Amino acid sequence: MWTISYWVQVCHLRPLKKNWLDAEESLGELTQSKQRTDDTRGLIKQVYGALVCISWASKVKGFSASITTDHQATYLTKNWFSDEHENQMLYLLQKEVSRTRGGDGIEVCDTFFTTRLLDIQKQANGPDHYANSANYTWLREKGQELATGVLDMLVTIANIGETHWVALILDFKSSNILYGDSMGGTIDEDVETALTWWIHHHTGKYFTKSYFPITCQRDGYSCGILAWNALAVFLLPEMHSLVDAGKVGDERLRMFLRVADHHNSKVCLFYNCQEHVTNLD
Amino acid sequence: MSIAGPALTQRNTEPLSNQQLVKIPVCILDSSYSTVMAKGPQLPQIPPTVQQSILPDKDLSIVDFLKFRLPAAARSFDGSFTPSQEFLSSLSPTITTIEEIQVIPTPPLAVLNELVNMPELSVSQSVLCLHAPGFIAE
Repeated sequence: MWTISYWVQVCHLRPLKKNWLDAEESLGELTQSKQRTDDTRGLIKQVYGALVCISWASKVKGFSASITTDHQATYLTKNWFSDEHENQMLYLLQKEVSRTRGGDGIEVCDTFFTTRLLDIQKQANGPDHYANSANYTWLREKGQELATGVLDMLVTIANIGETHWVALILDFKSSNILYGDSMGGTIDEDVETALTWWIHHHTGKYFTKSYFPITCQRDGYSCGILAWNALAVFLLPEMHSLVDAGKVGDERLRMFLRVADHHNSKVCLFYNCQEHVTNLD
Repeated sequence: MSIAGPALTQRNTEPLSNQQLVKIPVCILDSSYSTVMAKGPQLPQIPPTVQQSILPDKDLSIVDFLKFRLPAAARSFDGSFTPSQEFLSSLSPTITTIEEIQVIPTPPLAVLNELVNMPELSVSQSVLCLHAPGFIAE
């Protein structure tokens, strides 16, 4: 009767495997694509090298969210990024800023920063609740640090209408909100209201609004990676440049490799990666 | 097609006649492995020696996981479906090799969830499946 147990396990494994099969198919399409370059070929080879070094069953190490490695397959496809993907990228950006600029008063926040502010705005007594609730201790501390000059800048990516990612920079030194929308949109009204309220609560000031450079997307799925890219260019212009809209596929592969490298740096490797890579040649 | 796993316990019920087996084409699978019940739910545990060969090792890389073959999914079952009558049986299993078990399409998860919660599971010897009309390749 153990066959039933076997079938149950197979039914749970099948979606995991499908995620990776979809990724493999996307890599195949990218290999055949007319837009592929030598860079693309090299990246695909590196991706396969990483795929022999990551266990299919493990959790992604080195990030706050406890998710399985199959979530990483999304980077290799044209599927939309989730909060987990954006937050992995933002975490890596914070590390890069800390490493190259020594922090420099810049706080890179996860996507839940804006979500929390929007939630406060939706509550009838939200602003009053904010001042006292233990749930918002972290937000109040950040607000205080930014208002008193301990920090200069807060950087994040926000979700708009559960369909779109935009880049946000709150520059407390120049009293400016910078907005980057790869679809060319103006600042979202709800986001603007929430940010304006939070900033005013801590500083008593009203910031000006402006826009900063971001690649215009030519597809329906690249907002997440382009929002991150715009922030990376803004914070680390000597290391990043605005990605060509036609080469976002390469940028997603690069991001997969960054996340995979970070994951692998946190786990012991049991695989003979070099042997596998050679076999893939 | 009909499938059966190793017996959990013996059951004193009349087996189906050969004629019935012909009318409802079945094959019954099993292996000679002893079955251990999992703790808690009424789910039979896969013998560790079998598990090693039919399920991917947790340390397997993604590339090797992609190469690991899993059974296809049965696309659908015909209308009147009664899990206890259609699947669970007191017959002795006839399919006994891992290789044969691995090529049989899996029933939908909803069906499996019903099966694992059935009291009859603990006293059945095998699982029967009708030959399904269509399967989705992996």
